[in-house]
Amino acid sequence: MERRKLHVFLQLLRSVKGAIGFAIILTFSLLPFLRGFITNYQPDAIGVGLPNQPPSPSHLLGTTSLGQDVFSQFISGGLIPVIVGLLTGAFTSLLVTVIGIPMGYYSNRFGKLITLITDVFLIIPTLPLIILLGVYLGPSIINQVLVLTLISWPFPARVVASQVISLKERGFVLSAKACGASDLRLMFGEILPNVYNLIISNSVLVIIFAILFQTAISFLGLGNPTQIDWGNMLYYAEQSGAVASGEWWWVVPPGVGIMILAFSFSLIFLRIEEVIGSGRR
Amino acid sequence: MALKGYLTQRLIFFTYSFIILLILNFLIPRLMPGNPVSRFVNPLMSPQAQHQILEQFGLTEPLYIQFILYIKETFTGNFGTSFLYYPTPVGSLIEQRLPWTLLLTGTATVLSALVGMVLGLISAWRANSKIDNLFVFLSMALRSIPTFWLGLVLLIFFGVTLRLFPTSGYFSTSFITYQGNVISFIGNVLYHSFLPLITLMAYLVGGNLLIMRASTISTLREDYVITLKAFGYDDRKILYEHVLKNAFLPMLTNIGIQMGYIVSGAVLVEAVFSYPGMGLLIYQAVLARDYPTLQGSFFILTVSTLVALLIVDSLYALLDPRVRR
Repeated sequence: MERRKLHVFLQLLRSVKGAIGFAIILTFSLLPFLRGFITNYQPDAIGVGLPNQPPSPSHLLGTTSLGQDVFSQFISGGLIPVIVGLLTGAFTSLLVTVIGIPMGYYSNRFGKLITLITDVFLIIPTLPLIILLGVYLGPSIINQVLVLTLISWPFPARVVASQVISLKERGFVLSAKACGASDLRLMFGEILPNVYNLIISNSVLVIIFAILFQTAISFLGLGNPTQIDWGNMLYYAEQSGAVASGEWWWVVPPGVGIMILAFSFSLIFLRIEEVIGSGRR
Repeated sequence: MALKGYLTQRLIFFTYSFIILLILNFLIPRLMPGNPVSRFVNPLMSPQAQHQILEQFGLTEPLYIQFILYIKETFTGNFGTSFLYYPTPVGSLIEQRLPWTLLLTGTATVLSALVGMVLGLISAWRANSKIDNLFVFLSMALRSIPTFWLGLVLLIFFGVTLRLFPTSGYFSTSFITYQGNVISFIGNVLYHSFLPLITLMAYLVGGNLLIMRASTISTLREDYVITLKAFGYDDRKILYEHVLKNAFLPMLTNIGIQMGYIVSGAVLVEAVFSYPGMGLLIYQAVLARDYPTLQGSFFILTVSTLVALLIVDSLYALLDPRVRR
């Protein structure tokens, strides 16, 4: 089993899409630790340059209103979105498994109730709810992950449930049922291995969603103010009036970083779909 | 008959949704960790005044009485007093801001549906041509840009550097005292909403285009289209009279699904452009930790989304002959 998993992982890497995706994500995750080799400036050190300076040879991406080095902040800012994204993806797949499978499996009142609650969560405008919960919980990585997980599960759960609905009438499930297998055994022993791929590919979509929203909530001032991430960079740029005075060098890099990161997870998603697709054939 | 059944079914769903929302909105502030008093009463007030307000809102009562009071207050539009704009009631703040958000989101939804539909049709009609590839690539690219960051960049380049568009507000301050004609006022409002609107539409147009393209391509492969072609009908006539109607429905469903995202996008875009709608209200409330305003805004925005979805569903019922029959 372990060997099979490793095989699948290698298969993901053995393609241009997968390899590029992993390389970019790995780079952004390692850059904060390799910062010392790349730049002499600490990301949070104040006054290492004159404030609000455009890019120059000594400060590649200029400086902030406090004279911090934007380039140093930029290369440090990708780790937290990656961590928050991966953790949200992991927690969401767990929730999707324990909610989505019973939702599809039970067609009685219990199943209908879960479906109804899921549908209502699908309707609620995401960001206002994230903001409300975020303000109550306070800023920290774990709280950001909790809130994002609470928001992310409905859509993949719905996708998994509809797959379960068609699976539960298949021969292998019916024959296990005829042998007297319990509901739990049927759901998690028979059906789960068959929706495993679907949960994994959907969790990559959740990671992309989480990265984009992590930045958004940090930008709105719901991030940990002492932590360096791209959303926080934009928050400080907005608060210090850098946007109003047109300091593009402070605003453009974080957004480009987010796009590249989201794009590399999209590449991995596409590759996973290819691998799953070929497995089905 | 089926129409009636469909609408009843949707109405029942929306009623359930509303009830769940009411319960959720009641539980969130009471379940969260921390000092519950600070969520309802301005912590800067004296202890006596705090207690008085707690009593006034029935917050010293047991939970079930609190719930009954909460339902009563909610239905009379009483969402408490804002901390930030003390002593303005949250209700009247929302009343001022909501129309501007509805204007922005409504226009963005309708315009992006129209633009997405036209471009999606062109794309599908010329599938795999250069223009189709360009449209698909642009849509994918636009969808991976964080909406609020696109807003920041547009603001810097078109607002600050090029000075083509205003950087904040929803009309020029001169209009507050100047009793000009309505046309120039509307023009001024449009001019101020242009950048926020474009930002919000960027994401939506891409999604609509892709869905419209996919559904048109699959409709074009249907037997009845091939038959019409074989009978020598004009291509345009087939497209406008037969394909468009059927291909439009999946996009309408998509608009319904996107509704929550449109509201989220509007909150961020308004914060970026200081467009004084619900989004800016929420943004300022976050920075000031103004809990009553956040709570009320969340409730009203969700109710607005429910209403918008109900409109989309009714439109669907009107357009889809399978439901109408």
